[in-house]
Amino acid sequence: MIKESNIRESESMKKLKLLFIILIFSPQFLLAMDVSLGFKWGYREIKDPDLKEIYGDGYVYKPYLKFFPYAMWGLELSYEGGFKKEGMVGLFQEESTLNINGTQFCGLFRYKVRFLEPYIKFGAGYFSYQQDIKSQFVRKKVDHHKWTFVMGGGLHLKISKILFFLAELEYIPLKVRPFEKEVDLGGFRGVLGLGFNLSLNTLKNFH
Amino acid sequence: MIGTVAFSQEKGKISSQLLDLINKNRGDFFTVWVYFEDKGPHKAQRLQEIRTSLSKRSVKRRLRHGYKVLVDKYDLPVYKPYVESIKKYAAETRLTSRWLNAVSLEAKGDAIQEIANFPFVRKIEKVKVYGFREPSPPPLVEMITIPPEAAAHFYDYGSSFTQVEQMNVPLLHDMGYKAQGVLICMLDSGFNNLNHQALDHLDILETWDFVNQDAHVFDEEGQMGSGDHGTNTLGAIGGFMPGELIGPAFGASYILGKTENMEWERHMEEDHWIAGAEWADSLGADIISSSLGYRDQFTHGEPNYNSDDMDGETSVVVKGANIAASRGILIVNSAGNEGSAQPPDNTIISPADSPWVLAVGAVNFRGDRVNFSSTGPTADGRIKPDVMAQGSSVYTARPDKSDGYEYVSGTSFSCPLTAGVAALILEMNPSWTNLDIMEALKCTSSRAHDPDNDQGWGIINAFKAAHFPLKSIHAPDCFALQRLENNYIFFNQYVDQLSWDLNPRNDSKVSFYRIYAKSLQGLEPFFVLIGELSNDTFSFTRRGMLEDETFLYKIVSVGKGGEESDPAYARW
Repeated sequence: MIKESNIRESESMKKLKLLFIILIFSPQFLLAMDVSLGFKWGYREIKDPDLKEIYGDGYVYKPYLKFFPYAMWGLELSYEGGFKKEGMVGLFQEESTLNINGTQFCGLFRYKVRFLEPYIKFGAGYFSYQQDIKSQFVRKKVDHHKWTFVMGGGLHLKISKILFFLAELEYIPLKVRPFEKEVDLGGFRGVLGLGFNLSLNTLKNFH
Repeated sequence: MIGTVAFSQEKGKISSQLLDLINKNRGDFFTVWVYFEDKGPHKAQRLQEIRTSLSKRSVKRRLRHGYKVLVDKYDLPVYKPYVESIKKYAAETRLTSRWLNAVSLEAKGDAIQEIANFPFVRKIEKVKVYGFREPSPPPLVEMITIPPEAAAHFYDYGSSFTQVEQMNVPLLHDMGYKAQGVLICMLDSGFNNLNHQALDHLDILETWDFVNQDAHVFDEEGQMGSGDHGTNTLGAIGGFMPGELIGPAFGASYILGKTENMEWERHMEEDHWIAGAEWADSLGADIISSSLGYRDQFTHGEPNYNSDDMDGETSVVVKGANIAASRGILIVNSAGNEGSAQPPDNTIISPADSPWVLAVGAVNFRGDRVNFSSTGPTADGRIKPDVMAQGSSVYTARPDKSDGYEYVSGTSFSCPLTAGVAALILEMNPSWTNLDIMEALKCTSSRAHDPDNDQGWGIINAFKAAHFPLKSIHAPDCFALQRLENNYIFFNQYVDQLSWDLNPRNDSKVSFYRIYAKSLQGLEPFFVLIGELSNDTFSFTRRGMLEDETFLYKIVSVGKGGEESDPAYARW
């Protein structure tokens, strides 16, 4: 059964996505902005000790889109996926899978120092988590969503006018209570990535 | 001085709890049980001697119980040279128990470590102390009106009519049964006023005061004890004064053991109970009626047992009770008066937690459970109490007046009423064992098809139980249930683990067991077959429970011809 709160969350999520699409595809907006697109990949921890013991920490990938309407202030939209781990759970050590993924929206503050661009970010994330236990005796299914906050910081290292490397550290708590027990699915992420500067201002100056 | 080598040897023998206490206060005195490795040499010859000296009653009871060998290691006394060797280290030796093969003594910490050095000493444990629970004072004594049907019976029960009528006893009395030939051992805190007009007729064969070590079970000047409680229990079971009081087993023979000291709660009471049971076995008692129990409320700073220890095998007294039951003695014990306490303190007391002891709870004269009556389950998930009888406003003999009577309340009084019924059943069915009587009582009680942890199998019915057709195969013994947590991280589901022992009375007649479950939330309102297991498997696991789901499980033995035994139940 889908919870009413989950339905409400899904609807607000749709509205936010629509707003971002309108902003991104507005030509004036694009022309005025510093826009970059990239892919991050790295390691994430699971804070809850029981989950850590069963599923362990794992790797995640994060495609993202950043745009800076102002020189130092910007926004980031990213998706985190790839955390799908198997483990043996319960008294009878049954096979199970834990899958966590989510979408993040963050405000960015950056400071350019020649080819380096350190930044910090704060924002919100909407994460879904599923635990699938391969047992005919399980009566409850875990397939839930939750909003949380995101904070982090990183560094862009410019290689060329359109290409840069990045390193980033994020902390995303995710305390959930799908049933009677509270569990923290969150933790730190350390990622490395590659980004492309897509700003039209930058591209039109290319010769 | 105690050497390192010696200490390492002691370390395994002395229980860790005791060792901690000794290390803290080496110079203090501790009361301990010293268990021996064996019972000395020439066992065969000594067993033969015991066989010839065994009382006729004891032989008869053991034969009835199906003994193939009449005497065994439990009948051998503790080997005297062992006791003599350790005596010099003890400030005081209290009791020796042939069943436990142990001696209880008081000694200083250093001396206990010396005792542990003897190669024939197996282990040393601190005597745990439990308190005797006085019957809760009745909030209101209800004056009971004698109904007109009382006149239809042979005897005039007076004010005791309702308490025996509720158990359907008068019908058996009308048929001429009065428990004649049955020997009942009463273990209590003493027995005053045995010249009371309702007790004067009793055939009392022996008495022994285990507290003061003499033959007088009444209160004596300068001695410890209080005999009022025993007078009340004895009056309830065996009183006979037509027009006033008639107990169910007024024609039985009795032995009276004073094992309880009401002035304090110390370890010695538990020792005395076991000594009393051994004494009852020697004299050939068929039934022990014990309105005593041990768990907490200790004095002298002694530690209590907790509800987790009430698993039918942990307390010293229950170990003794289990051995007594294995000798064929039917032990009827009060369930306890803890029912109105907060869980888990509202559960039964020891030795009522034993699967081989009939634990009796209390109802009022209308048949409603009274709130002080202790509830189950045992720590290992068995249903308790076993049965119920009137324990509120029970009419009995007064201890302070030879023609006086009074109303008393507590499971202390439902216990002797039930023991009296058991004696009537045995008189009618002299070949029945203690377990047969328990089975008949439970299977014919008022809630036999829906037992629970408040009232067990319900109010006993003497007439029905005495006429119960025992089946050739029996339910498995000690059917118990434990609910385990199955942690799936985000939620728990629960696993019910059912376990049972082979019933020795079945020999090899059982081909498999059937396990049924019934939901008490209405999901499966009828018993549904959930498993069949061959007879070499003694546990069954049922998975996927939610925490608040309550199930009643039932197991039956199935014979080679497909016949089913009466069921055993466990409930969570």
